[in-house]
Amino acid sequence: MGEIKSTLELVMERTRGMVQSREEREQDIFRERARKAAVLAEKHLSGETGLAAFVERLDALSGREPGFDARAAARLHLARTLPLDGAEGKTALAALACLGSPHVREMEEAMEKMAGETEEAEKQAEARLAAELAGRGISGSAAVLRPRTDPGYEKARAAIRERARARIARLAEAAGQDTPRAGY
Amino acid sequence: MAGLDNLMAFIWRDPRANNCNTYLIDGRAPLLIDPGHSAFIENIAGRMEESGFNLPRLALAVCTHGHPDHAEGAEVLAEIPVPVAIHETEEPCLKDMARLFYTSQGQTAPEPRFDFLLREGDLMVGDNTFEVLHTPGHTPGSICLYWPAEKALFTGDLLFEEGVGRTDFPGGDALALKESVRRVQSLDIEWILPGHGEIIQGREAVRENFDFIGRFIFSTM
Ligand SMILES: [Zn+2]
Repeated sequence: MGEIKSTLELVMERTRGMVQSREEREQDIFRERARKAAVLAEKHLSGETGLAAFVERLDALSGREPGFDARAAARLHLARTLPLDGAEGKTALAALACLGSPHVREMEEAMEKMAGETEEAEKQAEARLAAELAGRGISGSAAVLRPRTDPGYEKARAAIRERARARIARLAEAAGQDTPRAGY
Repeated sequence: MAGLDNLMAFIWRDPRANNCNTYLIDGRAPLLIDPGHSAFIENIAGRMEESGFNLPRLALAVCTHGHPDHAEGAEVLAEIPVPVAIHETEEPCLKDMARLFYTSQGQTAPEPRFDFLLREGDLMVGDNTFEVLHTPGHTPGSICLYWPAEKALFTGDLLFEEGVGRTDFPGGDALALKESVRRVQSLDIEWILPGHGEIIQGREAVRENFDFIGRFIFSTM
């Protein structure tokens, strides 16, 4: 019985569809605008456009799309997809700062914390491996340990990154909504 | 073996299979040098058992280089599990070499996992101390293990009785091999324990072998 829909149910569904379609259209428009801002952000991260050109293009996009804050959309995208390490992470943070995100310092702190914890996990894994080898009677300067391939390290690293990602995700949502600081 | 009480040498003489010599240094932490082909591990293990030794007792296996006739059996040892080590330069080359070697025979290359890597320096295994010498030429990450207490040199495929390792495989380098041979020649050696062929015993025999290589082999390279 649950599989066969009544005429009333079908009518209700269709009506609901018609009511939603306007909202959906608006959402589609917003998504398309946000996508354009995200593309500009990705081009900046990949080095295709410099920071000044990136911001200029965002502002031009806001100008073309009345009521759309391209800087806020770019902030949200950059913060949501923030690379957790490497040069791209630094580029993204610099861009976020330039776009007026008030959370850059907190994101930096989250990334620094993650880097510190990862380094500590690596040291612990190395000590564990050295102890394991010593237990087998093996030691010496010729032995190059590989803590990064240790399953314990990989697990710890994944958990550390997960925590950092969650913290940054919370900041990211705020980054999209917050009013940028004056001066940017 | 007289003079090397804890050493068991499994000299591979079966000409039907190109397998390397395998050496076992028994003691508080038994060390295996070059496990050889996976298919022959059982043979080696059987010969060890005749002498009252079984593979799970191994503390470590070292591969002198990554060619399958020396290192393929690492995957069998890893299953036991026995830690396996190889030179740090060899591991990245190994993947490429293995792919070439196995795909040319229509097989899928195995991916042996090395528990740790080796570089020049001391390697203590139980009560024995070895010097890891990076001796490229046959392969980029070939090593010799020098055992100063016994004046013994495990040469892998760097040099043999009246011969040296081939340098026409990927990563081979004749000049580097000559340099590596000259380098180990300066060591105080009474035993050469090569990767293939017979063991060379005695200071005089070792010296003659280096002379032979220098005079008759190097000139052909
Ligand atoms: Zn070889």
